[in-house]
Parts: sequence; C-alpha cells; structure tokens
Amino acid sequence: MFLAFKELKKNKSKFSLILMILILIIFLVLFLAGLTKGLAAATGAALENSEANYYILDESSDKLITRSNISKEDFEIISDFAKDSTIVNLQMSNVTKEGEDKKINLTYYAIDPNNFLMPEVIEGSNDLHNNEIILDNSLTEEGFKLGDVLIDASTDLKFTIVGFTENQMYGHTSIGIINLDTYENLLKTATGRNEVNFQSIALKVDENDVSKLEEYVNKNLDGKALYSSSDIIKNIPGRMAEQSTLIMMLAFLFVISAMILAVFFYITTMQKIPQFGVLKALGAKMSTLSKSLIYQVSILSLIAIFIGNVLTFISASLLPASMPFVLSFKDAVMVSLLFLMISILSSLFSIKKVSKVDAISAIEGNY
Amino acid sequence: MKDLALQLKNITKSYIDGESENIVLKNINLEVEHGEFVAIVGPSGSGKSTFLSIYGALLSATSGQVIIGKNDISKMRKKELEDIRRNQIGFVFQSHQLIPYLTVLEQLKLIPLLSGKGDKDSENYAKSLLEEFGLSHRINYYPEKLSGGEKQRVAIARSLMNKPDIILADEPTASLDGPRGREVVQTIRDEIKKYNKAALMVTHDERVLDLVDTIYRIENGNITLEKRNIAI
Repeated sequence: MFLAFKELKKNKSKFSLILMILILIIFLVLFLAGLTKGLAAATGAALENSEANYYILDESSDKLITRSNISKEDFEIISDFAKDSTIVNLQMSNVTKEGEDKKINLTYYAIDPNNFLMPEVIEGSNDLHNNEIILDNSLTEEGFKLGDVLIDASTDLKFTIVGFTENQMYGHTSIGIINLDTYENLLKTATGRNEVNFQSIALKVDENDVSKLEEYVNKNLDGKALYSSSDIIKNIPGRMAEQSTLIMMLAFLFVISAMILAVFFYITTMQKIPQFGVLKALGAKMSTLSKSLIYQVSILSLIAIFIGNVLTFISASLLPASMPFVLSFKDAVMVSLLFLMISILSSLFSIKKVSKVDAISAIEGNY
Repeated sequence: MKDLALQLKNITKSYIDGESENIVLKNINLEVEHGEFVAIVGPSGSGKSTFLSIYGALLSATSGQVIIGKNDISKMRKKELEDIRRNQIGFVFQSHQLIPYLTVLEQLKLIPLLSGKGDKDSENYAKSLLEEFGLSHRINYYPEKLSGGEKQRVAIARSLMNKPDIILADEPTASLDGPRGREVVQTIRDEIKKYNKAALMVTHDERVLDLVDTIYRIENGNITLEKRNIAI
C-alpha cells in the first residue's frame, strides 16, 4: 500500500491521464448499459413487467402476439384448465389528440382490466370502462392529460384518458390499455366484420405445472402452442438485432478498457524494472510487489468508477424522459464490479513481468 | 564456530556453457570479522559481481558454504534468501538506486515496511541515521533534488536501516567524482566502525583503498589477500 500510494502521489500527472481515460470508458460503459436496458424496455417493457410467464399463440405466428389468432372457444378450453389465464391483444395503431393533427404511435394493449395483466395505475383511475383508455406516462410529454380525448386514426373512434401507468412500452411505442369490449368494437369498426378473434392467452403458471399445461394445449387446441414469456419477448421485431448489437458494443468496451489498462501498467512496469530489481535485492517479497500493483490498479479503477457513476447519473437525470435510458442502481453496481474485476485481471500481465525480474540485475546494472 | 560476520568456505561457481563448463569462481575462502572493512578489487570480468551476488544471497554457489552471521545460506530456498536479504544484509548499489517516488525519509522507512514492521521506532531510527549523515534538512526531498553524493549517502543510510550483519557495497564510488567518492567511502567506514558492522566493498577505485582494513584481489576466479592496512 505504501509503495502504491506514494507512487500515485508523486506521479499525479501521469496517473491522472490514465484516470481520465478510465473515467471516460466507465462513463461510456454505464451509459451504453443504460441505453441497452432502456431500448429493451422500449421494445418489451409491457411484457417484461407483466406477471404473465407463459403465452398461448398460433403455431404459425412466429411467436408474435400481434400475428396470432385465438378464438373465444379456445380461451374457454384453456380457462377451464388454467385458472390464471386471460386474453391479451396488442394492436399497433396511431392516434391524434382531439383538436390536433399530430399523429402519435400507440400500441393498444387490450386486456381484461380486472385480471392479473393490469399494471399499476399511477395517476387517475384503474376502473376501465368501454371507450376509455389508460396511457403510459411517457405520453404526458406529448401533452396528454387526464380527461383528454384520443381519436384512433384508422377508425375515428374516440377514447377518453382515465389514467396513466408507467413503464409500459411495446415495439418502441407507448402502450394504451383498453378493455376487451373496446378492442372488439375497434376491430369490428376497422374490418367491418361481425365476428372478431382475439390474439393470444396470457398465463400465470407454476413452473412445475408447465409440462402438464403444454400437454393439455397440444391435445385440446389445434395449431396452438405454449411459449414462455422470455421467448415471446425475444421475438419482438427488432429486439434481438438491437440488443445483440448493443451488448456486443458493451463487451468490446470492456475488452478495450481491459487492454488499455493492461498496456498502460505493462509499459510503466517495463520502465520500472530496475526499481523492481532493487526492491527484490532489498528482499521485498513478490507478494508485496504484486499487492502494490493491484492496489494501484484498484485505486485508479475505484476513483474512475466513482466519478464515472456520478457523471452517468447526473447526465441521466438531464435526459428527456422520452430517451430510452434505464439504469438501475443494481445494474450500475454490477457494471462497476465487472469493471473493477477486469482491471485487476489486466494487471496480472504486469505482475507476471515483475515476477521474472531478477534481483541480480540491480547489482549488475544490465536491465 | 567462530563469531564472524561472513564466512565463505570453498565457494565454487560455474555455468554450463553449451558442452563446456565455465568456472567463474574457484574454491574461494574468505572470513570477514565484525567491524572489518574489506575491499575486493580486480579487473572487470574477474567475477566480482558474481562473487557479490553469492554472498549477497542473490545467487547460489555451485558448491561451498556461505555463512552470514549465524546462518548458513548455502542450502536456502528463494523465500528464505529474501528474508536474509531483508534482515541481515545492507546493500549499497553502484548508482544509488533510490526509489524515485519516495522522499529521503521514506526511502529509509521502506526497509522495515518490507518486513511489515513500519512503526514509530523505525521512523525515529531513520531520522537519527539521517541526522548522523547530515541529511536532516533533506528528509522531505525526492532523489531528483539531491546531489550525487547526497544520494549515495542516503543509500548508505538505507543500508543501515535493517541493522544488518554486513553491508555490501557494489562500486559505491562509480558515479561520483574523486572527492565525493572518497567522502562516501569515509562515511561507510565511520558508520561500520561506530556500529561494529562488517562491510564488503567491490571497487576498482584505487584511490579509496587506504580507507579499508583489508584488500583482496580477485583474478581469474581466484582470490588473494593483497594487503592488511591494520592488524585486526
């Protein structure tokens, strides 16, 4: 600790340079992590935050709720068997506010408001009647208030805003919750048909009962299949491409930061080989020398992590709410710990180099 | 067993160089008493450095015994040799070899810290040593701000920090001009006489040889007694 600390103190300018690089990297890593989570939430928060863990969809629907089709009879067959089951429909559309022209993308989340899918309402009422809608609170930024009237662009049906919920997104659009009657009316108006089908069934199943349920579905419903909620979320259009790109960027950032640290410490170690020779000649244990290096890396990383986190959370608080950025305290801690671990691992190259320094070199003077 | 600071018995050191065996030191015997100041002179390439490395517990001899104080180090493992170097040997290197990011006082405090023993006592001892060396006004200076002679004096003070049985000095005057070099050797002499420590100095600086007690010459791997300045 003595050596590590004294050296940092003496060579402030050299170490502050690497510190600055580290701060920028950790800031970038945290920010990207927040963006990854944020975009994930924007594509699938409505499903991620739902209590449903399984869905029954058409086998031919490519695991897309929006593309699936399920009849009321099918639902009755399922609800006979599984108590915690309910209809769920997702319908992408666009709407305008009454009296304005601006179209806004919206996904109708048509559910039974008295069932487990109903998210918590943070403003207004959770009592959802026909032709009423509860919106995700991201739309308050567009100027929507309780009591405003929305006009569905394709059918001209009018819905009154009775409440706001939060973190309900699907496919980069905000969610508007409507009840099943409203949904049926919407579809009938749009298609001109008298009979319309629902899309899928959401279920809350105990993991132990899944195989039994699957068997039941396969036996009693033709062309329908049971999918896990994570499977459904993964298949939301664009989700995989978006997430895998961002996660790859994150991984590369980690690798790059590890390499920058490793190279920096390796080069400074090379410069200090005569010193290490002298220290070894003076009888310094290898453990003392390795600890000194690890302390240095840890001190620098911890300072960088602290400042990087502060910067990230400050900038996050300045972002507009419509920006898809979600960084929980837990995620920040995880990313920070990973960063610290990688930093310490990267110092192993230098430690290996130090372990090879021969104490005799201090006597012979040939380094 | 005689109470000596350093005893070398039948030391041989050889390297295998391809097919042939290259003998650097042949059957060397040497005894150094407490308080004795020994100089080892010889041309370059005569094995001086190898010799110093062997009794400095840095290198093992091919055969023979090295006894420092009461410890026979010939059969010791690397870790035990580290302990010997930390506790029983004081090193003064060719060019001071101070740690650039430590102040003069910290250079000295480092030595007990390497053994995990940094306390107020060792700080006081360091301060008293520096006072003795006339370096009290420099204790918070970094090496870069010191003159060559001052640096080497700090290095000598550092070599005394662990209260060693023996001080090993490798060409301590190499980087200094005549008067400064002589001053440094004089300092070593004064200190070892004061604390009754032995010192072995490898040098080719003939001008300082009048300051030592005993002079050995090493040549072609053999060591011969050249001169005793005073009877011990």
